[in-house]
Amino acid sequence: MAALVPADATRDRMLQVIGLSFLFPGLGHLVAGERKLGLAWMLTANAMLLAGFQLAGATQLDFGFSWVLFGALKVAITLPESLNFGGTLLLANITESVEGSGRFVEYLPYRQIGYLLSGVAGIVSIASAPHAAGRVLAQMQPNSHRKLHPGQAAVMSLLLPGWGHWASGRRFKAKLLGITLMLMFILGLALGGFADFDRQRHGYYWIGQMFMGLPAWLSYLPLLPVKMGTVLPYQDTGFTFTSVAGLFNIVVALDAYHRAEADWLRPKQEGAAEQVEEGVA
Amino acid sequence: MSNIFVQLLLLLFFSFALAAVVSCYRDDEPEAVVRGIPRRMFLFAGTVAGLAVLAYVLGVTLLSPGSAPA
Repeated sequence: MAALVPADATRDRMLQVIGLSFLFPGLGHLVAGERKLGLAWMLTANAMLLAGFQLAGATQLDFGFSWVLFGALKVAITLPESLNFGGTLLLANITESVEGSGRFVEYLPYRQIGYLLSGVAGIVSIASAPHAAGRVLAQMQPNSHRKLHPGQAAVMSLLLPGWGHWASGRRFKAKLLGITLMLMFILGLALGGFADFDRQRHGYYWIGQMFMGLPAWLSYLPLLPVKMGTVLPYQDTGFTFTSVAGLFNIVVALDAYHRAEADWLRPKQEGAAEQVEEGVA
Repeated sequence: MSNIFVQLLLLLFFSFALAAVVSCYRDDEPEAVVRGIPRRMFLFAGTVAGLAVLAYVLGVTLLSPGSAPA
C-alpha cells in the first residue's frame, strides 16, 4: 500500500512555512494567510521570551554559545530559546548578560521565573512550525471528515505526552506513551532527590527536561527549593531519565503529527464509523 | 553506593521506554506495537550490558595498569 503523503506542491509550501516558523514564530502562519493566529503566536512567544530575558538579566545567553560575525552581528545559540531563532538573535544583539557586566545572577530574585518563561517560549515557538504546516495541509488539501489537522496533534503532544495520539483516536498509544514518559520523568526526579531539575545547576539536562511540556513546566518552580545535599547513588541516572523523557516526547510529537497527517490524507471509507476527534484552535 | 541489580532494573526500565517509543513510531496497530517492544527492549538492554561486560573485562586485563610491560 502506497504511503499517504501530501502532494508535492503542498509539501513545498509546508517546508517553506516550517523554515519561516523556525526563523520567527508566527511568520509561517502569516505567510500561509493565517494572520490572526500568526500574530497571536508571534506576540505570545516573543513577549514570553522578552519577559524571560528581562527577569533573568539575559543570563540565558551564558548557557549557550555565541559568535560575532562581520565584527558586528552576534549570533547566539542557547537552547531552548534559540528555537525562536530570530527573537533570540535580536535579543542577543540588544542585551547583554548581567554576568558579563560583573554582577552575580543570585542578585536577580526572579531569574528562575525568567528561565521558565524564556524556555517555554522556545518550545512554544518551535511548536508553531508543525502547526503552520498542518494549516497549510488543511488549506491545500481540505478534508471534510477530519477535524484534527496534524499540526494540532503535534502541539498537543508537546504540551502533554500522549495527548496528540489520544485526540487522533489512538487511545492505546496515548496511554502507553503518556504513562511511560511520565513514569520515566517522575522516576528520574526521584532518583535525583527531586533536585535535578534546575537550569542553574544542570543547564544541559534542563534543555531535554523542558520538552516534557506542561508536567515539567508546572513542577519547575515548586521543585526549586529542594536542594541536593549529598551525592546520591543514582543521581546521574536521574538526570538521564528526566532529560531523555523530554527528548522522547519530541519523537512522540513527530509520530502524532505523522499519524494525524496520514489520517487527514486517507479517503473516507464507506460504512466506516466516524472518528470522533477533539479539535483545538 | 549504587547496586548492580538496581542498575540492571533501571537499564531494563530505560530500555522498555525506548522500545515503547520506537515501536510506536514504527507501527500504528496496538498488536504490532506490543509485539515489537520486548524484542527492541532486550536488544538494547543486551547491547548495553554487553558493552559494560566488555568494558569491565578490558579494565581488569589490557587496560589495567599492572598489565603494561615494565
